[in-house]
Amino acid sequence: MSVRPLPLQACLGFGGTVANGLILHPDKKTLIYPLGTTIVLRDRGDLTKQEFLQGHNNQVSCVTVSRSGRYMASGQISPMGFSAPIIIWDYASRKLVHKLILHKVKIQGLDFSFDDELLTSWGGTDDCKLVIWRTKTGEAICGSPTPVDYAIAAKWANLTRNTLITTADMKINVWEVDAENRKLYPSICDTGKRKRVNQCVVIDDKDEYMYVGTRSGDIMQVSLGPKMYRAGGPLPMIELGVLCLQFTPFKDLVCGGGDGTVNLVRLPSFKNVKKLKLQGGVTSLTVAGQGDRGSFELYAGTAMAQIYLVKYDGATNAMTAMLIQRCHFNKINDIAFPMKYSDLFCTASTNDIRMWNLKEMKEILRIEVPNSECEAKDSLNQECHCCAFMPDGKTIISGWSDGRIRAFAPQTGKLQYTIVNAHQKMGGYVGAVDTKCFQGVYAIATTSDSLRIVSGGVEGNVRVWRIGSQSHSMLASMKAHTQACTYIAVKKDNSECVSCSNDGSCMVWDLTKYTRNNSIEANNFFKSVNYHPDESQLLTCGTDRKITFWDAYDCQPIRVIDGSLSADMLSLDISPDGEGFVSGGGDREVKLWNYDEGHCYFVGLGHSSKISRIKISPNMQKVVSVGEDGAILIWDYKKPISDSPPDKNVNFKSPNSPE
Amino acid sequence: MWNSHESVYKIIKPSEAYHAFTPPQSAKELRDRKVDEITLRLKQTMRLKAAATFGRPLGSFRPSARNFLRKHSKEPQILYGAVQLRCTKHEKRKPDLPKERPTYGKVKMMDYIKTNAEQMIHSSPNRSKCPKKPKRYALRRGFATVPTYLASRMRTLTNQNNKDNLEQQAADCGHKGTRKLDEKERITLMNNLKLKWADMNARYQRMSVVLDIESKKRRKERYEENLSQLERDIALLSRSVILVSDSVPAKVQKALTQ
Repeated sequence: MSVRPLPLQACLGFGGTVANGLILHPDKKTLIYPLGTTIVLRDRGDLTKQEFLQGHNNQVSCVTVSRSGRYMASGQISPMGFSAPIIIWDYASRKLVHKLILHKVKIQGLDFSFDDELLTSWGGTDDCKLVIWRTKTGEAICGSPTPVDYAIAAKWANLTRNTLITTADMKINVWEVDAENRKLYPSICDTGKRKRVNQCVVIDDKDEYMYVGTRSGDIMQVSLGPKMYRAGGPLPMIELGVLCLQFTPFKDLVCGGGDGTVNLVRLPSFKNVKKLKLQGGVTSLTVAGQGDRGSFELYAGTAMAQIYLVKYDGATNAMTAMLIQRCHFNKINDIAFPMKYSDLFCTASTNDIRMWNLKEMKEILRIEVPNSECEAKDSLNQECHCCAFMPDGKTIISGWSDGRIRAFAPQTGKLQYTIVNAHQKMGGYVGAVDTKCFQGVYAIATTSDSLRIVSGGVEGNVRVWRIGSQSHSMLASMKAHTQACTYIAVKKDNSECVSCSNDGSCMVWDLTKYTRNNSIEANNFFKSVNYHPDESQLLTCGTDRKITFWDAYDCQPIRVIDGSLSADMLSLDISPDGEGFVSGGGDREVKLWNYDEGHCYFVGLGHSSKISRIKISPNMQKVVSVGEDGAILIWDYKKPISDSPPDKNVNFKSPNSPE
Repeated sequence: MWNSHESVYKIIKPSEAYHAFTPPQSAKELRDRKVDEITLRLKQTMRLKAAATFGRPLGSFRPSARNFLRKHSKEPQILYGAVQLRCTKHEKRKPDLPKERPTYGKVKMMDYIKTNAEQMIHSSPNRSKCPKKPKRYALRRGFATVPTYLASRMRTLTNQNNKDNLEQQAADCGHKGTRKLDEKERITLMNNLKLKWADMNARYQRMSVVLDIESKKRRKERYEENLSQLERDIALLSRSVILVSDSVPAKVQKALTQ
C-alpha cells in the first residue's frame, strides 16, 4: 500500500519577506509569489484559481521569471551546512527542468540574462558565491567567490550577455562575463564618499546607468561605462531604506521603502513626487499596466503579507492602493470551525484573530487586540494561543498570552467580555520582574450547550467558567498538571473532558463534580488529545513522534504507531465519521491516516515550517492546516482507503464452508 | 450562554435560488387595472347601498367624547327677530377667478375729474320715467288683460297643482311642472350607467382586432354606438341639478296621440 500525495486545493498566504518575491508574469495574467516551500501561480483577477509548484524541501528564498516568461527559477534556504538547490521551471508546462546544486545554506537571489541563455545565482552570507549557469542544459559555466561582503542584489544588463552587476555592502561590482572562456572579470564602481549598503539595483534600457537603492534610503545613479557615481536622491531620504526598485512605463523610478511607502521618483531630478503608505515594508513591486498621461498600475507586496494594487493617476498626481490579498504574516497558533458548519473558520495568530470564508478564500473579519503591556502598541509580543466558536455561534472565544480569555462577536468583531486573570500563577507578581512566563491561556474548549468554557493555562491549571447571558464566573479550578496544558477536548454529553500537558500526563476530568477521573502518564510532551467520535477511545500525540490510541474508560494504551520518523507531532484531528484522522508536526507533512488500520494513506507537502494546528472541516470536504510560516493551506479530504482493487486470489470464504 | 444577537451562521447568506420575475406592467395593462379597480369600487359601493338597511356601517358606533347629551339640546330652537330664511340653491355664483395672473406694479394714472367731466358730457338724460305716447294697439280694449276663459282655466290648474304638489314645489324652488331629481337617485342612476359602460367597454375591448365578418363589424358598430350613448347619458346625469318634467314632452305627446 503506497502513500499518495494529498492534493493541495488552495493557499492563503504570501511570503512577504522574500525580496522581489511578487512577480507578474510577462503575459500579464498570472501573479507569482513564494509561500513557504511552494511557489504559487495565481490568476491575477481570481483568488481561487491557484496552481502550485512544489519541489523545494525548505523555505523558498527567491523567485525570478525570465524576460520572455518561458522559464522560472527559485532558490531556497537550507539548514546550516546543507546544500541549497536552485530549481529551473518550465512555465508553460509547470514542470521542473533542472535542479542545480552548488550553493549552500541560502540562495540570496537569481536573475536571468536578457535572452534567457544564462542564469546567475548568488549565495547568502554562509555561501558567498556567484555562479553563472546555462539555462538550457543546467550546467555551471563559471563562478567566483564574493568574499566577506556577499552580494545582496544582482542584475544582468538589458542589451548584452556580457555584463552583470552585483551590489553589496559599500560596494558595487560590474562583472564582465566571458561565457566562452568561462571567465568572470570584476571591476569596482567608484561612488566617492558615499558608503552605503546597496540593497537593490535596476538598469535602464540603454545600459547607460544603473540605479541602486540603499539601506540609507536614497537611490544612486551610477554609470556603467566609466563606472562612476553621477547623481543621487531623493531628499528627504526614504525611511528604513529602499527595499525594492522598479522602472515605471514612463521611465521614472518607483521604489518601495522599509517604512511601507511606495514612492514615485522622477528622473533625472530624483524628486519624490508622490508617496503612499501601505502596511508593512514594501518588499516587491511589479508593474501591471500603463494608461495615458503618465498613469500606471503596479502590484506591491509587503512584509506584512499583503498584496496591493497601486494605481497612479498622472493627470491629478494621485496614488491609490487597493488591497487584493491579505493573510497572516506571522505564526498561526490555532484553527477553529463553528459547530457543524464548514463555510468559514477562524485562525489565531499574534495580535489578531481572522475569520475566513472557506469557499471564496477571503478574509471576512479581522479582530486585532493591541498589546496593552508594551508601550509600542503594534509590537508582536501579544499572542493569541487558541480560539474556538461557541456552539450557539454567538461568540468567538480566544485565549491570550496575557492570561485573559476574550470573547468577540462574530459579525462585528466587538469585544463581548473579557475574563481577566483567567490563567495566572498566583504569586507570580511577588518580587518577580518578568511575569510573562506565568500567564497565558494555552487551550480552550466549550461545552455543547454553550454554557461553560474549559480552559487550560500555562501554569497547568484547568479551569471551568460559567457563561451567563450577561455575566461569567469561575466554577472550578482543577490543578494536577505541573506544566502548561496544551489541548483540551470535551465529550459530547459534557460529562467529561480530557486535557493534555507538557509534563507528560493527560488527565480525564469529571465536569459535574469537577474531580479527576483518570490519568495517563507517558514519557512525552503531549501536544494534542482527541476523543474518537464514539468516545470509546482517545488519541494522543506529542514530542515522542508517536500517535497513541488509549481506551477512554480505563486509560490503558491500545496501540502505538509511529507518527513521524524525524520530528515531533504537534496536532491531530479525527474526522467526524471516525474513519480517518489527520496529523501534522515538525516534519512539515500533513498526513491522513485510516483510524482502524493505523496506516497513512496520504501525505501533503507544502508547509515550510512546523504545522501548529490541523483540522478537518465538519462536512469532511477539506483539511485546513496552519503553520509557523503564517500560511493557511487547504487540502482536499480523501477517504483513507486503498485505491488498489481488491485481490482476486483472496478467498473470502473458507474452503470447507457450505455453498 | 452569552446574550447576543450576532451569530456566525448569519455571516454567509445562502445563495438565492432563481426567483420568478414579473416584467413591469405596460401602459395598457396599467390602464385596464385602474379601470378594474374603479369598477370594483363602484360595485362595492353599490352593494353597500343595497344592504344599507342592516344598520349603520361598522365603526360608526365608536363612542365619542364630544357627542354627549347637552342641556336643552332636545328643546326646539326659537329664532327671534326677522330672520330671513333664504334658499341658497339659486344664489348667483361668483365669477371664476381670472386665469391670467394680474400684473402688479403697473400704476394707471387716472384723472378722475376729467373722466367724470367726459362722462357727464357724453351721457344722456334718463327719460325712462317720462310718459310716452302709447302705441295704437295698446289703445285697444282688453289690451294687457288676461282673457276671462284663460284666467279661469289657469286658476283651476293652479288650484289643482297647488293641491297636488305643494310640498314638491317648495322643494323644487318653484319650477312649475317639474321636480328636481333626487341626489341619491341621480348617483345611483349614474353609477349603474357607469357599470354598464364598464361592462360594455370590457366586451368591446375583448373583441378581436381583425373584423373579418359582417356580424363582427356590426357588433363593433353597435358597441360604439351604445358606448357613446352611455357616455352622453352619464354626462347628462353628472350635472348637479336635473329637473324632470312630470308631463310628457310635446313631441312625444304628439307621437302618442297620432
